[in-house]
Amino acid sequence: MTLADPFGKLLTEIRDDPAVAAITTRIRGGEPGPGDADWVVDKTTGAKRYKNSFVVLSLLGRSRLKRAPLQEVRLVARCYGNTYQGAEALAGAVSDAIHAVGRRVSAAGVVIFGSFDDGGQGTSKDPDTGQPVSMFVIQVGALTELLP
Amino acid sequence: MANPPTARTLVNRAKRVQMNYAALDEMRQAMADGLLNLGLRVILDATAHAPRDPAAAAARGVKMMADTGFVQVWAGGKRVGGVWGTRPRGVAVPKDQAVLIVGFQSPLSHFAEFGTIKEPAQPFLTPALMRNIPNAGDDVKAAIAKWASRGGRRAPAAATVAARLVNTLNAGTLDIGGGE
Repeated sequence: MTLADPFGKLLTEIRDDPAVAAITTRIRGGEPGPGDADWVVDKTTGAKRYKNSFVVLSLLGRSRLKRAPLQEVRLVARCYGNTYQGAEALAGAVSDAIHAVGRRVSAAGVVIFGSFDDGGQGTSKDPDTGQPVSMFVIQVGALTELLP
Repeated sequence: MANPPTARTLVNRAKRVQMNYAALDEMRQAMADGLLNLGLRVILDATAHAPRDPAAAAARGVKMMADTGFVQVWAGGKRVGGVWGTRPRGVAVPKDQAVLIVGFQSPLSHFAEFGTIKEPAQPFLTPALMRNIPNAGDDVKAAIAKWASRGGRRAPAAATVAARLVNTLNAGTLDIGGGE
């Protein structure tokens, strides 16, 4: 029996959300995909222009209840945009996709009781590339076992 | 001269929930003590697991991110415990609540925790919190037990009502409602 991981289900839900899909379909787990963080330098102004908006989900941690087969999982959604406003809009769309969404079961049998946007800290710049990024934490309540 | 209160009135008074705000403040202080113990446990755990880069810190001439952890406890809207005086922006400390703040002062700490484009997330604070939260009740319980052993007392308002009831019984002026 393996510990059920709601990460994949969350990622799929965010990717399939129409509001998020209207902004980007680049929803990644753990690290950006190839070419996600590319930019070009504007010849007239010399400023960086970022090519893509994308989302990177990472697992922060989990805690299991001692007796009941339940777990609380915390993830972070890093929402990168072409601009500060774009990053914030993407974070808002991702938040809407998962916030206060009730119970559901994935095709693989992962049971999620609820997921919530647990707060972010506004938009900042990624220290590596300078791309605007808005981060927020996602809290998920889930079953530790897969449904047969 | 006013009539003595009837038994029904006395019982109704005794039934009414009355708050002893002085005792409540003491209890909130006990809670704050418990939260401080919990916060110290979390910050020690997080510091032990935080990524360290002594070369980068030395090059920038600053403390290592892992060594910038802090704990604050706020109660009644005031800081009552912990270190590092400034309250982080965006953290509300309502006057009717005890609030524990655990964090790292370094502006790079959230990038280490959440990751960047080129570096994967290396969470150290959230896992420490989640490891210690299940036992948080023990810290607060221990602090409140200590408060109780120091002389936590029953609410004086309820005691007053009980004393009046006894005095009325002793004086033989208790109306047992036989006339109704």
